[in-house]
Amino acid sequence: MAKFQSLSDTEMKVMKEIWKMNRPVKSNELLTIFYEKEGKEWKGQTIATFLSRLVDKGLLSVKREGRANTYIPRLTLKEYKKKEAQSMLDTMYQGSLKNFISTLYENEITSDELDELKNWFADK
Amino acid sequence: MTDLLSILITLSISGSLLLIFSGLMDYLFKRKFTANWHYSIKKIVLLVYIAPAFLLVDFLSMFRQKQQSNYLFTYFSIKQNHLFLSTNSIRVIFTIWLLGAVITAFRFIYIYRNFIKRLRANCLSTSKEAIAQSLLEKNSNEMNLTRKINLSFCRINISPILLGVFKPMIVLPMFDIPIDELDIIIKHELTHFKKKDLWVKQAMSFAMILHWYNPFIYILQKEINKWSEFSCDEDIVINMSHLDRKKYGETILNIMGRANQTTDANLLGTTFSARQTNLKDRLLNILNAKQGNRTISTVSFVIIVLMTSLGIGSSMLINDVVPITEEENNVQTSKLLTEITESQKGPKQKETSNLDKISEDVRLLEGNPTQEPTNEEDHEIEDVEQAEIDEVILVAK
Repeated sequence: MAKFQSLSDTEMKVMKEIWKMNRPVKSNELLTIFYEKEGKEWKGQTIATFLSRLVDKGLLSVKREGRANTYIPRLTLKEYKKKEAQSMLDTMYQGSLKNFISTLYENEITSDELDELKNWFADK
Repeated sequence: MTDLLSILITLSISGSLLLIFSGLMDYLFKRKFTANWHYSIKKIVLLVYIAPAFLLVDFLSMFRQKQQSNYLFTYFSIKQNHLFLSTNSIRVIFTIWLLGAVITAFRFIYIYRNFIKRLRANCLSTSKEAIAQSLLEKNSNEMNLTRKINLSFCRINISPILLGVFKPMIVLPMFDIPIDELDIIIKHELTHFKKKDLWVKQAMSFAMILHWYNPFIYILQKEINKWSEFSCDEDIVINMSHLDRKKYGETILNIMGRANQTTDANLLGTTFSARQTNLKDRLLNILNAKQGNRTISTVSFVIIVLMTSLGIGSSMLINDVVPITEEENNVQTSKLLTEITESQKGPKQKETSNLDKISEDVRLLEGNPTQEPTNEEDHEIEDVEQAEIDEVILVAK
Protein backbone atom coordinates (compact mmCIF):
# COMPACT_ATOMS: atom_id res chain seq x y z
CA MET A 1 0.00 0.00 0.00
CA ALA A 2 1.44 3.33 -1.00
CA LYS A 3 2.09 5.78 1.78
CA PHE A 4 -0.69 8.29 2.21
CA GLN A 5 0.03 11.72 0.83
CA SER A 6 -2.16 14.63 1.68
CA LEU A 7 -3.33 17.05 -0.99
CA SER A 8 -2.37 20.64 -1.50
CA ASP A 9 -5.10 23.29 -1.44
CA THR A 10 -5.42 23.47 -5.20
CA GLU A 11 -5.32 19.72 -5.63
CA MET A 12 -8.10 19.53 -3.08
CA LYS A 13 -10.15 22.06 -5.05
CA VAL A 14 -9.76 20.05 -8.23
CA MET A 15 -10.72 16.83 -6.47
CA LYS A 16 -13.75 18.42 -4.91
CA GLU A 17 -15.07 19.36 -8.34
CA ILE A 18 -14.45 15.87 -9.63
CA TRP A 19 -16.22 14.40 -6.61
CA LYS A 20 -19.14 16.72 -7.21
CA MET A 21 -19.56 15.48 -10.74
CA ASN A 22 -19.19 11.92 -9.58
CA ARG A 23 -18.09 10.59 -12.95
CA PRO A 24 -14.98 10.35 -15.11
CA VAL A 25 -13.91 13.76 -16.41
CA LYS A 26 -11.81 15.17 -19.17
CA SER A 27 -9.28 17.88 -18.51
CA ASN A 28 -11.00 20.45 -20.73
CA GLU A 29 -14.19 20.07 -18.73
CA LEU A 30 -12.31 21.05 -15.63
CA LEU A 31 -10.80 24.04 -17.38
CA THR A 32 -14.28 25.30 -18.18
CA ILE A 33 -15.53 24.72 -14.67
CA PHE A 34 -12.71 26.60 -13.04
CA TYR A 35 -12.97 29.43 -15.48
CA GLU A 36 -16.70 29.80 -14.83
CA LYS A 37 -16.49 29.38 -11.10
CA GLU A 38 -13.44 31.32 -10.14
CA GLY A 39 -12.42 33.17 -13.29
CA LYS A 40 -9.22 31.19 -13.33
CA GLU A 41 -7.81 30.92 -16.80
CA TRP A 42 -5.64 27.92 -16.40
CA LYS A 43 -3.61 26.64 -19.23
CA GLY A 44 -4.05 23.08 -20.44
CA GLN A 45 -0.59 22.34 -19.16
CA THR A 46 -1.37 23.54 -15.65
CA ILE A 47 -4.44 21.42 -15.23
CA ALA A 48 -2.61 18.46 -16.73
CA THR A 49 0.12 18.78 -14.10
CA PHE A 50 -2.38 18.83 -11.26
CA LEU A 51 -4.23 15.86 -12.69
CA SER A 52 -1.09 13.80 -13.14
CA ARG A 53 -0.06 14.57 -9.56
CA LEU A 54 -3.44 13.35 -8.38
CA VAL A 55 -2.90 10.18 -10.35
CA ASP A 56 0.48 9.75 -8.66
CA LYS A 57 -1.12 10.18 -5.28
CA GLY A 58 -3.54 7.41 -6.05
CA LEU A 59 -6.72 9.49 -6.16
CA LEU A 60 -7.36 9.27 -9.88
CA SER A 61 -6.70 6.76 -12.57
CA VAL A 62 -6.17 7.89 -16.12
CA LYS A 63 -7.44 6.48 -19.40
CA ARG A 64 -5.39 7.71 -22.27
CA GLU A 65 -7.56 8.57 -25.26
CA GLY A 66 -5.46 10.18 -27.88
CA ARG A 67 -5.15 13.88 -27.09
CA ALA A 68 -7.68 14.19 -24.33
CA ASN A 69 -7.31 11.91 -21.32
CA THR A 70 -10.16 10.82 -19.11
CA TYR A 71 -9.66 10.83 -15.38
CA ILE A 72 -11.56 8.50 -13.09
CA PRO A 73 -11.78 8.98 -9.35
CA ARG A 74 -10.44 6.00 -7.42
CA LEU A 75 -11.61 7.00 -3.96
CA THR A 76 -14.78 8.62 -2.78
CA LEU A 77 -14.55 11.69 -0.60
CA LYS A 78 -15.48 9.59 2.41
CA GLU A 79 -12.79 7.04 1.71
CA TYR A 80 -10.23 9.76 1.29
CA LYS A 81 -11.17 11.36 4.59
CA LYS A 82 -10.90 8.03 6.30
CA LYS A 83 -7.43 7.43 4.89
CA GLU A 84 -6.35 10.88 5.90
CA ALA A 85 -7.61 10.33 9.41
CA GLN A 86 -5.88 7.01 9.74
CA SER A 87 -2.65 8.45 8.46
CA MET A 88 -2.80 11.21 11.02
CA LEU A 89 -3.45 8.75 13.79
CA ASP A 90 -0.52 6.65 12.68
CA THR A 91 1.74 9.67 12.87
CA MET A 92 0.41 10.69 16.22
CA TYR A 93 1.50 7.58 18.01
CA GLN A 94 4.90 7.54 16.38
CA GLY A 95 7.93 7.86 18.58
CA SER A 96 9.20 11.04 17.01
CA LEU A 97 6.01 12.98 17.56
CA LYS A 98 5.66 11.89 21.17
CA ASN A 99 8.32 14.37 22.14
CA PHE A 100 6.17 17.26 21.09
CA ILE A 101 2.67 16.39 22.15
CA SER A 102 1.04 14.93 25.21
CA THR A 103 -1.82 12.54 24.53
CA LEU A 104 -4.42 11.05 26.81
CA TYR A 105 -3.55 7.54 25.75
CA GLU A 106 -0.35 6.23 24.27
CA ASN A 107 -1.47 4.00 21.46
CA GLU A 108 -4.51 2.62 19.83
CA ILE A 109 -6.08 -0.67 20.62
CA THR A 110 -8.48 -2.99 18.82
CA SER A 111 -12.12 -3.23 19.86
CA ASP A 112 -11.63 -6.79 21.05
CA GLU A 113 -8.72 -5.91 23.27
CA LEU A 114 -10.69 -2.99 24.63
CA ASP A 115 -13.66 -5.16 25.56
CA GLU A 116 -11.37 -7.63 27.25
CA LEU A 117 -9.78 -4.88 29.24
CA LYS A 118 -13.11 -3.40 30.24
CA ASN A 119 -14.24 -6.73 31.57
CA TRP A 120 -11.00 -7.30 33.40
CA PHE A 121 -11.10 -3.84 34.92
CA ALA A 122 -14.71 -4.13 36.01
CA ASP A 123 -13.75 -6.84 38.46
CA LYS A 124 -10.94 -4.91 40.12
CA MET B 1 36.14 19.59 18.28
CA THR B 2 38.11 17.11 20.32
CA ASP B 3 36.83 18.60 23.52
CA LEU B 4 33.29 18.48 22.28
CA LEU B 5 33.65 14.86 21.33
CA SER B 6 35.10 14.13 24.73
CA ILE B 7 32.23 15.80 26.51
CA LEU B 8 29.71 14.03 24.32
CA ILE B 9 31.12 10.62 25.03
CA THR B 10 31.25 11.36 28.74
CA LEU B 11 27.61 12.39 28.77
CA SER B 12 26.64 9.35 26.76
CA ILE B 13 28.40 6.86 28.97
CA SER B 14 27.49 8.32 32.33
CA GLY B 15 23.87 8.78 31.26
CA SER B 16 23.65 5.19 30.08
CA LEU B 17 25.18 3.85 33.29
CA LEU B 18 22.77 5.87 35.35
CA LEU B 19 19.89 4.63 33.23
CA ILE B 20 20.83 1.04 34.00
CA PHE B 21 21.06 1.91 37.68
CA SER B 22 17.68 3.58 37.55
CA GLY B 23 16.26 0.48 35.91
CA LEU B 24 17.47 -1.50 38.89
CA MET B 25 15.88 1.02 41.24
CA ASP B 26 12.61 0.81 39.33
CA TYR B 27 12.60 -2.94 39.59
CA LEU B 28 13.46 -3.06 43.28
CA PHE B 29 11.02 -0.40 44.37
CA LYS B 30 8.26 -0.86 41.85
CA ARG B 31 5.28 -1.01 44.13
CA LYS B 32 6.82 0.73 47.08
CA PHE B 33 7.38 4.21 45.73
CA THR B 34 5.12 6.62 43.93
CA ALA B 35 5.01 7.01 40.17
CA ASN B 36 6.24 10.55 40.70
CA TRP B 37 9.37 9.15 42.31
CA HIS B 38 10.00 6.89 39.29
CA TYR B 39 9.43 9.88 37.04
CA SER B 40 11.90 11.97 39.05
CA ILE B 41 14.70 9.45 38.80
CA LYS B 42 14.20 9.23 35.05
CA LYS B 43 14.36 12.99 34.86
CA ILE B 44 17.66 12.89 36.72
CA VAL B 45 19.00 10.43 34.16
CA LEU B 46 17.89 12.80 31.41
CA LEU B 47 19.69 15.65 33.11
CA VAL B 48 22.89 13.65 33.28
CA TYR B 49 22.61 12.99 29.55
CA ILE B 50 22.35 16.69 28.82
CA ALA B 51 24.22 18.68 31.41
CA PRO B 52 27.98 18.33 31.71
CA ALA B 53 28.02 18.40 35.49
CA PHE B 54 31.69 17.66 35.55
CA LEU B 55 32.41 20.95 33.84
CA LEU B 56 30.75 22.76 36.66
CA VAL B 57 32.80 20.84 39.20
CA ASP B 58 36.00 21.55 37.27
CA PHE B 59 35.09 25.19 37.15
CA LEU B 60 34.52 25.30 40.87
CA SER B 61 37.72 23.45 41.70
CA MET B 62 39.72 25.94 39.67
CA PHE B 63 39.18 28.36 42.48
CA ARG B 64 40.62 25.98 44.97
CA GLN B 65 44.14 25.70 43.57
CA LYS B 66 44.41 22.04 44.40
CA GLN B 67 46.92 21.25 41.71
CA GLN B 68 49.08 18.88 43.71
CA SER B 69 46.42 16.32 44.44
CA ASN B 70 45.10 16.31 40.88
CA TYR B 71 48.59 15.91 39.57
CA LEU B 72 49.08 12.24 40.27
CA PHE B 73 45.64 11.29 39.07
CA THR B 74 46.18 13.19 35.86
CA TYR B 75 49.54 11.55 35.38
CA PHE B 76 48.08 8.09 35.61
CA SER B 77 45.24 8.85 33.34
CA ILE B 78 47.56 10.30 30.75
CA LYS B 79 49.89 7.35 30.95
CA GLN B 80 47.30 4.63 30.88
CA ASN B 81 43.85 5.60 29.82
CA HIS B 82 43.96 8.38 27.33
CA LEU B 83 42.38 7.52 24.07
CA PHE B 84 44.86 8.54 21.44
CA LEU B 85 43.29 9.21 18.11
CA SER B 86 44.72 10.77 15.03
CA THR B 87 43.34 14.13 14.01
CA ASN B 88 41.82 12.57 10.94
CA SER B 89 39.83 9.96 12.77
CA ILE B 90 38.60 12.61 15.19
CA ARG B 91 37.40 14.64 12.24
CA VAL B 92 35.66 11.66 10.74
CA ILE B 93 33.94 10.66 13.96
CA PHE B 94 32.88 14.22 14.64
CA THR B 95 31.46 14.64 11.15
CA ILE B 96 29.49 11.42 11.41
CA TRP B 97 28.08 12.51 14.74
CA LEU B 98 27.20 15.95 13.43
CA LEU B 99 25.49 14.47 10.41
CA GLY B 100 23.43 12.12 12.53
CA ALA B 101 22.48 14.91 14.92
CA VAL B 102 21.42 17.24 12.14
CA ILE B 103 19.40 14.54 10.40
CA THR B 104 17.65 13.64 13.67
CA ALA B 105 16.89 17.28 14.39
CA PHE B 106 15.47 17.90 10.95
CA ARG B 107 13.40 14.76 11.12
CA PHE B 108 11.82 15.89 14.36
CA ILE B 109 11.09 19.34 12.99
CA TYR B 110 9.68 18.01 9.74
CA ILE B 111 7.39 15.45 11.36
CA TYR B 112 6.10 17.98 13.88
CA ARG B 113 5.41 20.70 11.34
CA ASN B 114 3.73 18.27 9.00
CA PHE B 115 1.49 17.12 11.82
CA ILE B 116 0.59 20.68 12.83
CA LYS B 117 -0.26 21.48 9.22
CA ARG B 118 -2.65 18.57 8.95
CA LEU B 119 -4.11 19.33 12.33
CA ARG B 120 -4.80 22.92 11.34
CA ALA B 121 -6.48 21.76 8.15
CA ASN B 122 -8.91 19.73 10.23
CA CYS B 123 -9.47 21.96 13.21
CA LEU B 124 -12.36 24.28 13.86
CA SER B 125 -14.31 25.95 16.61
CA THR B 126 -17.87 24.89 17.19
CA SER B 127 -20.66 25.60 19.59
CA LYS B 128 -19.40 22.80 21.80
CA GLU B 129 -16.70 25.17 22.72
CA ALA B 130 -18.83 26.96 25.26
CA ILE B 131 -19.13 23.94 27.50
CA ALA B 132 -15.54 22.83 27.10
CA GLN B 133 -14.34 26.37 27.59
CA SER B 134 -16.14 26.72 30.89
CA LEU B 135 -14.78 23.40 32.08
CA LEU B 136 -11.32 24.55 31.10
CA GLU B 137 -11.67 27.73 33.10
CA LYS B 138 -13.08 25.96 36.11
CA ASN B 139 -10.27 23.44 36.26
CA SER B 140 -7.61 26.05 35.54
CA ASN B 141 -8.77 28.04 38.51
CA GLU B 142 -8.87 24.99 40.74
CA MET B 143 -5.29 24.19 39.84
CA ASN B 144 -4.14 27.80 40.17
CA LEU B 145 -2.98 28.04 36.60
CA THR B 146 -2.63 31.56 35.28
CA ARG B 147 -1.59 30.88 31.71
CA LYS B 148 -4.27 31.07 29.05
CA ILE B 149 -4.66 27.78 27.27
CA ASN B 150 -6.42 27.63 23.93
CA LEU B 151 -8.98 25.07 22.98
CA SER B 152 -9.66 23.55 19.60
CA PHE B 153 -11.68 20.75 18.10
CA CYS B 154 -10.54 18.31 15.47
CA ARG B 155 -12.66 16.51 12.90
CA ILE B 156 -10.55 13.42 13.17
CA ASN B 157 -11.05 10.96 16.02
CA ILE B 158 -7.77 11.58 17.72
CA SER B 159 -6.87 11.23 21.33
CA PRO B 160 -7.14 14.54 23.19
CA ILE B 161 -3.81 16.33 22.89
CA LEU B 162 -1.88 18.97 24.72
CA LEU B 163 0.66 20.71 22.55
CA GLY B 164 2.70 23.87 22.25
CA VAL B 165 5.42 24.75 24.72
CA PHE B 166 5.07 28.50 24.19
CA LYS B 167 1.46 28.68 23.11
CA PRO B 168 -0.21 25.81 24.90
CA MET B 169 -3.32 24.38 23.32
CA ILE B 170 -5.64 21.50 24.01
CA VAL B 171 -7.08 19.76 20.97
CA LEU B 172 -10.16 17.63 21.44
CA PRO B 173 -11.78 15.16 19.06
CA MET B 174 -15.05 16.39 17.73
CA PHE B 175 -17.47 13.64 18.51
CA ASP B 176 -19.95 13.97 21.34
CA ILE B 177 -18.25 13.69 24.67
CA PRO B 178 -20.28 13.48 27.88
CA ILE B 179 -19.55 16.31 30.27
CA ASP B 180 -18.02 14.19 33.01
CA GLU B 181 -15.60 12.62 30.53
CA LEU B 182 -14.74 16.05 29.19
CA ASP B 183 -13.99 17.18 32.71
CA ILE B 184 -11.54 14.34 33.22
CA ILE B 185 -9.87 14.92 29.85
CA ILE B 186 -9.28 18.56 30.68
CA LYS B 187 -8.04 17.74 34.18
CA HIS B 188 -5.58 15.28 32.67
CA GLU B 189 -4.17 17.65 30.07
CA LEU B 190 -3.97 20.53 32.54
CA THR B 191 -2.07 18.31 34.96
CA HIS B 192 0.47 17.58 32.23
CA PHE B 193 0.73 21.30 31.67
CA LYS B 194 1.16 22.03 35.34
CA LYS B 195 3.95 19.48 35.68
CA LYS B 196 5.69 21.04 32.68
CA ASP B 197 5.80 17.69 30.94
CA LEU B 198 6.14 19.31 27.53
CA TRP B 199 9.37 20.94 28.67
CA VAL B 200 10.67 17.56 29.81
CA LYS B 201 9.79 16.15 26.41
CA GLN B 202 11.65 18.96 24.68
CA ALA B 203 14.70 18.20 26.80
CA MET B 204 14.27 14.57 25.81
CA SER B 205 14.34 15.41 22.11
CA PHE B 206 17.47 17.48 22.69
CA ALA B 207 19.10 14.48 24.35
CA MET B 208 17.99 12.29 21.44
CA ILE B 209 19.60 14.66 18.99
CA LEU B 210 22.86 14.67 20.95
CA HIS B 211 22.94 10.94 21.54
CA TRP B 212 21.19 9.58 18.46
CA TYR B 213 23.76 6.78 18.17
CA ASN B 214 23.15 5.47 21.69
CA PRO B 215 20.43 2.80 21.95
CA PHE B 216 19.90 3.61 25.63
CA ILE B 217 18.49 7.03 24.82
CA TYR B 218 15.55 5.43 23.07
CA ILE B 219 14.91 3.28 26.10
CA LEU B 220 14.97 6.43 28.21
CA GLN B 221 12.43 8.04 25.92
CA LYS B 222 10.00 5.19 26.37
CA GLU B 223 10.51 5.15 30.12
CA ILE B 224 10.09 8.88 30.53
CA ASN B 225 6.91 8.90 28.49
CA LYS B 226 5.50 6.01 30.48
CA TRP B 227 6.26 7.51 33.89
CA SER B 228 5.11 10.96 32.85
CA GLU B 229 1.72 9.43 32.04
CA PHE B 230 1.61 7.36 35.22
CA SER B 231 2.55 10.24 37.48
CA CYS B 232 -0.02 12.47 35.80
CA ASP B 233 -2.69 9.86 36.54
CA GLU B 234 -1.36 9.54 40.06
CA ASP B 235 -1.61 13.25 40.78
CA ILE B 236 -5.22 13.22 39.69
CA VAL B 237 -6.41 10.14 41.57
CA ILE B 238 -4.27 10.27 44.69
CA ASN B 239 -7.04 11.73 46.81
CA MET B 240 -9.85 9.80 45.20
CA SER B 241 -11.74 6.87 46.61
CA HIS B 242 -11.45 3.45 45.01
CA LEU B 243 -14.78 3.97 43.35
CA ASP B 244 -13.80 7.29 41.86
CA ARG B 245 -10.55 5.82 40.63
CA LYS B 246 -12.48 3.10 38.88
CA LYS B 247 -14.58 5.76 37.26
CA TYR B 248 -11.44 7.55 36.10
CA GLY B 249 -10.02 4.37 34.59
CA GLU B 250 -13.31 3.51 32.92
CA THR B 251 -13.46 7.00 31.47
CA ILE B 252 -10.13 6.53 29.79
CA LEU B 253 -11.29 3.20 28.36
CA ASN B 254 -14.53 4.78 27.17
CA ILE B 255 -12.72 7.62 25.45
CA MET B 256 -10.52 5.11 23.70
CA GLY B 257 -13.58 3.15 22.71
CA ARG B 258 -15.36 6.15 21.23
CA ALA B 259 -12.37 7.00 19.09
CA ASN B 260 -11.97 3.47 17.96
CA GLN B 261 -12.16 2.84 14.28
CA THR B 262 -9.20 0.63 13.90
CA THR B 263 -8.80 -2.97 12.96
CA ASP B 264 -5.83 -5.18 13.70
CA ALA B 265 -4.30 -4.52 10.31
CA ASN B 266 -3.87 -0.84 11.01
CA LEU B 267 -2.02 -1.18 14.25
CA LEU B 268 1.62 -1.38 13.35
CA GLY B 269 4.60 -1.33 15.56
CA THR B 270 3.33 -2.87 18.77
CA THR B 271 2.08 -6.36 19.48
CA PHE B 272 -1.30 -7.34 20.88
CA SER B 273 0.08 -8.27 24.26
CA ALA B 274 2.33 -5.22 24.55
CA ARG B 275 -0.59 -2.86 24.06
CA GLN B 276 -2.69 -4.65 26.59
CA THR B 277 0.11 -4.85 29.13
CA ASN B 278 0.86 -1.15 28.92
CA LEU B 279 -2.74 -0.27 29.47
CA LYS B 280 -3.17 -2.83 32.24
CA ASP B 281 -0.14 -1.44 34.04
CA ARG B 282 -1.57 2.00 33.75
CA LEU B 283 -4.96 0.99 35.11
CA LEU B 284 -3.41 -0.90 38.00
CA ASN B 285 -1.28 2.12 38.81
CA ILE B 286 -4.42 4.23 38.93
CA LEU B 287 -6.08 1.88 41.37
CA ASN B 288 -3.06 1.30 43.57
CA ALA B 289 -1.51 4.75 43.77
CA LYS B 290 -0.89 5.72 47.33
CA GLN B 291 0.69 8.51 49.26
CA GLY B 292 3.92 7.46 50.93
CA ASN B 293 4.40 7.59 54.68
CA ARG B 294 7.34 9.22 56.43
CA THR B 295 9.72 6.28 56.04
CA ILE B 296 8.97 5.90 52.39
CA SER B 297 9.42 9.61 51.78
CA THR B 298 12.80 9.66 53.52
CA VAL B 299 14.14 6.53 51.83
CA SER B 300 12.92 7.63 48.42
CA PHE B 301 14.47 11.04 48.88
CA VAL B 302 17.77 9.48 49.94
CA ILE B 303 17.78 7.36 46.82
CA ILE B 304 17.18 10.43 44.70
CA VAL B 305 20.11 12.20 46.31
CA LEU B 306 22.19 9.07 45.82
CA MET B 307 21.31 8.94 42.16
CA THR B 308 22.11 12.57 41.61
CA SER B 309 25.52 12.23 43.21
CA LEU B 310 26.17 9.02 41.31
CA GLY B 311 25.31 10.85 38.15
CA ILE B 312 27.66 13.73 38.85
CA GLY B 313 30.35 11.44 40.23
CA SER B 314 30.33 9.02 37.35
CA SER B 315 30.43 11.78 34.79
CA MET B 316 33.43 13.27 36.57
CA LEU B 317 35.17 9.95 36.74
CA ILE B 318 34.54 9.10 33.13
CA ASN B 319 35.62 12.53 32.07
CA ASP B 320 38.98 11.99 33.72
CA VAL B 321 39.45 8.45 32.52
CA VAL B 322 38.42 8.59 28.90
CA PRO B 323 39.46 11.88 27.42
CA ILE B 324 40.50 11.91 23.81
CA THR B 325 43.76 13.41 22.71
CA GLU B 326 44.81 14.37 19.28
CA GLU B 327 47.91 12.62 18.11
CA GLU B 328 50.26 13.81 15.43
CA ASN B 329 52.36 10.87 14.38
CA ASN B 330 55.76 11.36 15.98
CA VAL B 331 54.93 13.81 18.67
CA GLN B 332 53.17 11.41 21.02
CA THR B 333 55.90 11.19 23.63
CA SER B 334 56.61 14.86 23.54
CA LYS B 335 52.94 15.58 24.04
CA LEU B 336 53.03 13.41 27.12
CA LEU B 337 55.95 15.39 28.39
CA THR B 338 54.27 18.68 27.66
CA GLU B 339 51.17 17.66 29.56
CA ILE B 340 53.09 16.45 32.56
CA THR B 341 55.18 19.58 32.88
CA GLU B 342 52.19 21.74 32.25
CA SER B 343 50.15 20.24 35.00
CA GLN B 344 53.15 20.77 37.21
CA LYS B 345 53.26 24.42 36.36
CA GLY B 346 49.63 25.19 36.80
CA PRO B 347 46.57 26.03 34.70
CA LYS B 348 48.25 28.20 32.13
CA GLN B 349 47.18 28.31 28.52
CA LYS B 350 49.28 26.67 25.82
CA GLU B 351 50.65 29.45 23.72
CA THR B 352 53.77 28.19 22.05
CA SER B 353 54.01 25.27 19.70
CA ASN B 354 54.87 21.80 20.93
CA LEU B 355 58.46 21.68 19.78
CA ASP B 356 59.25 25.05 21.31
CA LYS B 357 57.74 23.79 24.52
CA ILE B 358 59.91 20.73 24.50
CA SER B 359 63.14 22.62 24.05
CA GLU B 360 62.11 25.08 26.71
CA ASP B 361 61.27 22.31 29.12
CA VAL B 362 64.48 20.44 28.41
CA ARG B 363 66.40 23.59 29.20
CA LEU B 364 64.44 24.11 32.37
CA LEU B 365 64.91 20.62 33.65
CA GLU B 366 68.56 20.41 32.76
CA GLY B 367 69.26 23.87 34.08
CA ASN B 368 67.22 25.50 36.80
CA PRO B 369 64.14 23.60 37.79
CA THR B 370 61.13 25.88 38.34
CA GLN B 371 59.83 23.92 41.26
CA GLU B 372 61.58 22.16 44.09
CA PRO B 373 60.16 18.71 44.52
CA THR B 374 58.47 18.68 47.88
CA ASN B 375 57.76 15.03 48.39
CA GLU B 376 58.63 11.54 47.28
CA GLU B 377 56.01 11.31 44.62
CA ASP B 378 57.48 14.28 42.86
CA HIS B 379 60.94 12.72 43.00
CA GLU B 380 59.74 9.57 41.36
CA ILE B 381 57.96 11.46 38.68
CA GLU B 382 60.97 13.62 38.04
CA ASP B 383 63.05 10.52 37.36
CA VAL B 384 60.54 9.28 34.88
CA GLU B 385 60.42 12.70 33.28
CA GLN B 386 64.17 12.70 32.90
CA ALA B 387 64.00 9.33 31.17
CA GLU B 388 61.33 10.58 28.85
CA ILE B 389 63.19 13.76 28.08
CA ASP B 390 66.18 11.63 27.09
CA GLU B 391 63.90 9.68 24.82
CA VAL B 392 62.58 12.85 23.26
CA ILE B 393 66.05 14.18 22.67
CA LEU B 394 66.94 10.91 20.98
CA VAL B 395 63.86 11.09 18.81
CA ALA B 396 64.47 14.70 17.91
CA LYS B 397 68.00 13.94 16.86
